[in-house]
Amino acid sequence: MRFSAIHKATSYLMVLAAFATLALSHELSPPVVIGTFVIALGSYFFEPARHAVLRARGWSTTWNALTLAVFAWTLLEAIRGELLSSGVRFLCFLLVNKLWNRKSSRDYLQAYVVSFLMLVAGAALNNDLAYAGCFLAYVVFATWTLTLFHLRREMEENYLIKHSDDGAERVEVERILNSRRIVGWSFLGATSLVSIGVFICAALTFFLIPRFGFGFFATHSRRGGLTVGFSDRVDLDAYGRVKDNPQVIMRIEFPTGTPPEQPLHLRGVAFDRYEHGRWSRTISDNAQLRSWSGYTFVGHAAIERLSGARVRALLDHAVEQRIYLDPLDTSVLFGAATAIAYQMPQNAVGGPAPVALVTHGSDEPYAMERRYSRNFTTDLVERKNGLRYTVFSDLSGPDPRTLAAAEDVDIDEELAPYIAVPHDLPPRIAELARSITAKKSGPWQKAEAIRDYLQRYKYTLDLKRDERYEPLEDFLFVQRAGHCEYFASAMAVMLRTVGVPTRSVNGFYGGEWNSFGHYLAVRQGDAHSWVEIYIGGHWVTVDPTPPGAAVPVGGAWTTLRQMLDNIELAWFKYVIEYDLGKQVEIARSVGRWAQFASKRDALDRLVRRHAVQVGGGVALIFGAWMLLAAWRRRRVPQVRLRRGAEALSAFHRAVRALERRGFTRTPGETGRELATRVRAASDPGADSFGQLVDLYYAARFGAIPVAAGDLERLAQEVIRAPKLEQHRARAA
Amino acid sequence: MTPVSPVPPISVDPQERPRDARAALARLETAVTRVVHGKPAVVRLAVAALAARGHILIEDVPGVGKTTMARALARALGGTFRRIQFTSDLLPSDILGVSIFNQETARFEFRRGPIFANVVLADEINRTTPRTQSSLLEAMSEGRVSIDTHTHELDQPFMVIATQNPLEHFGTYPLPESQMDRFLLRLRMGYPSPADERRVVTAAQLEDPVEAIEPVVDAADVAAIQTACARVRVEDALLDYAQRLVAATRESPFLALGVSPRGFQGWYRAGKARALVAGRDYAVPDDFKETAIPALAHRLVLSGGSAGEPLGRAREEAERVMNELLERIPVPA
Repeated sequence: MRFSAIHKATSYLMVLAAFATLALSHELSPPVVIGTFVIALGSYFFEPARHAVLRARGWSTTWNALTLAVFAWTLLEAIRGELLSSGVRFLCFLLVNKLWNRKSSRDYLQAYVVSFLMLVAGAALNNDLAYAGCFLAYVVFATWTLTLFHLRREMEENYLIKHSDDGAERVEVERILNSRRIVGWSFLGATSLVSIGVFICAALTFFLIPRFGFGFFATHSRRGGLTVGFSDRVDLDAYGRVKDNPQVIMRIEFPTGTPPEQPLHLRGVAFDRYEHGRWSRTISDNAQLRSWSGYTFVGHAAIERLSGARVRALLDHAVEQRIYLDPLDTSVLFGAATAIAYQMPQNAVGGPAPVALVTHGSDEPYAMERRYSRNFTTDLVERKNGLRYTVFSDLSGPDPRTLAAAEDVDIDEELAPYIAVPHDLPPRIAELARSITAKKSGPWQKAEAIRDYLQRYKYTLDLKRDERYEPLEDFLFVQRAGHCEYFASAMAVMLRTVGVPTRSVNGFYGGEWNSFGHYLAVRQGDAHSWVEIYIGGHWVTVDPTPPGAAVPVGGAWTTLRQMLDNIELAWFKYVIEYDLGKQVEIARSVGRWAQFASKRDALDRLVRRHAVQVGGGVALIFGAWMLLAAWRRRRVPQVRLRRGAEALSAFHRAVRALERRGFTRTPGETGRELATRVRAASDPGADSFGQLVDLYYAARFGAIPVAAGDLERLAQEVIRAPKLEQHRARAA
Repeated sequence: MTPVSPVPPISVDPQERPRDARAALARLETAVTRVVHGKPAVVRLAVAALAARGHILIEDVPGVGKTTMARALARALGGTFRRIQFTSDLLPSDILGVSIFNQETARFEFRRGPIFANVVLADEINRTTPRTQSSLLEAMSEGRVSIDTHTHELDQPFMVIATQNPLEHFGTYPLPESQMDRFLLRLRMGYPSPADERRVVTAAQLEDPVEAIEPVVDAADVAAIQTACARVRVEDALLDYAQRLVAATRESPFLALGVSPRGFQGWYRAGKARALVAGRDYAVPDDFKETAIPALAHRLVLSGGSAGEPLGRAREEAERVMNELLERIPVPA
């Protein structure tokens, strides 16, 4: 390819990589993305040198006017508060502008600057794994482009400035730009190797430089789109097909590295008030939260007396879950029922934690973001970011005998909201409940009876609705099919009519075990609804939805999806939220590996076990080395070259040797004059020194590469030359 | 059937072929050396002055070959040569030319003076009046001549070789310092060595050896030489050295006036030209050291006044000061 064509192509690739980071960030609307892409790409086929319209005065005037207009519009939008998105759109416009006005190398440079700004903006807006790919591409393309750009500018500008009165030079520049021999695939290959090397070094730096923790500089480092699936509201008055949503929104690691024995009920929000198909929360007196050396206890543990031993006992008994939570449109914290304690991310430098735990009525804590306003007050606002935290949950629950033996509770003021049913609830619901629980005593037996009764109903996501009936009535008597929210609501309301305090809970159920990363991936489609019943002073989880609702997906597709999801988690863990703790973790695992490897038998075992992989790896490295060697041999004579000041050393040593022989160089004496003087004295080293001066002059003043071996040989000949007297004596 | 038109042969314009500046310079030097016996250094500097688009002043007694060298250079260049003998009654128009009224066409016609030549030998330039001197020197620096209302461009290449006799004192108008500055180099021919002198004497034949010189370069070659000369690489360390030396001339107690920026520029060009003549495209310290006295000494004004002294004495004194500085200022190595 011609030099100029390669330069143009790499420039477009670089700009495209930067634009892709923005295009994939969901910050730009699809019309803007497509428009920018198409218009920018269109400019590739128009050259100012060939198409006169691009050189016309009106063309640039139009663009300048357009720029002013767009800038004014951007300014207006920025004032209205859409600073980031309007700025990003302005960047897109600038890019298109520059690509359509590629007159000189300066325009290219400005396009590069815009692309860099896009990359920076992309870093703030896009924390998908896709950003990593775009970034790597950008690094490679930018290395190509900037190298070629530098060459081009050196030729165009420097050359012309130096010899601007010479018309022939312009022809020369044209010839070079059209040459096919200057850069080829070997250039592109070698530079991409260099840039990937740089990238690896940068990655090493990233992993090794000590850093402050999550949220040191900003409390809202990550921002993602709001997701759908889980909801902190329940509204049964909807119909139509509910679509499954496979987006993973939560990943849970267990210290054991094995999946939980039973699918977990990951509790989110609990509701107390039911009204015509809607659940809402009315209780507002905050439940207790108790902090104890980094742990925040909730529920019973928050009220009882805590001691070190008690805390240890509680936590040892509990199941620890490390949760990576993606942004959701709620600030509630999820955890397997029943959560005892939470451990929130701390600010590594001792300031206030970036998130604060608060409760809204029930047991569930909400992690609110601390936002620092300008007048140095702190506001707690809804969290828009992902979060990493740890939950300790007691999965055992009360034992079945206690449950079965439990009596109906007295309804006090505190429990009253959990027993209330709307006065316009169709009476046949209460009648049905009474008929089901007629022969049962105690809340647990009643609950079991209703749960068993509901198993006859059909689970479906294809909702139908008869508007003449109340939603629950419609579900229980007409449709006889629904999804988990119907089952949960029906059970909760029916139990209330027979005097059992209940609440409806939204959360997630189950999840998929990722066998690559050893964690539980919870998807939006795992959103679920169930019931909590108040028995003997505890809220007990009961799930009335018939099992087998979820359709398992298997095969290669699952494997691939799990692998991708694992990479995504690693990206979050080790790049986006990489901090001092992670650093220590990586250092430790490297240390463990080194220790392991240092034990001979262990290494032997490793080699035996992984003989094929190790052998393959060694062969691969050897092959690569052979290729490299062959490539290097192809490059004709490998002579170490010396330029400029590097040649000084050999010359100085020769001069010092001559000094010892009585030829002291005066300050104003040049090398050549000294050589003449040495020759006049017919010193035996004169010939070598004369040649050395020639080489040295060429290297030092002519910037001509000179073989290091030649310099060294001549210097040695001067140094080793016999003294004049000895020489004469020998000659005599 | 459509007749196929023959493909026109690719023509190569001889003017467009790349010129080898160094080869052209070498041919020029050889041609001149063939008739100017035993003066390789002077010939080399004269050729260097041509490459640097400069003019030279030769200070020497008559009869040492000044004219021969100038004519040889002109012949080898393939250009025109004119000699102007400066006398006390010479007028500017005798050099530049004059407008004559043509009665047939009833208008003034410009008759070009001897300065319209590629190589001009201005013999004994200090014998004429300052007015005439300055008319020549102005033409030298401007490269053009203005007479009446018309401006006439001089031929290119254009080189003036001026001579003056350093010994004679009476009836001369020594060139003022400002005018000396217009010469790139001041050279001294010197007497040839006894062997060379014998060769000169015995070689004189019926035929003038200078007339036998064939042109070895053309105008495009000269242009290439001059372009190549401008492109000679000068390392920063060398420029530092040159600047230190120039600064030293301005601080020397023996000198009333050191080297001017124009003088420095002249030296710089001369150093580059000498490098090119030596066959290099980069300058080395020797290029600057060797051109220091020819390029700088004539621009210096000695302190203590030398008005009454003959030219030769002042020159010797200036060269002595220069030599002393050259010994003292460290050369980059």
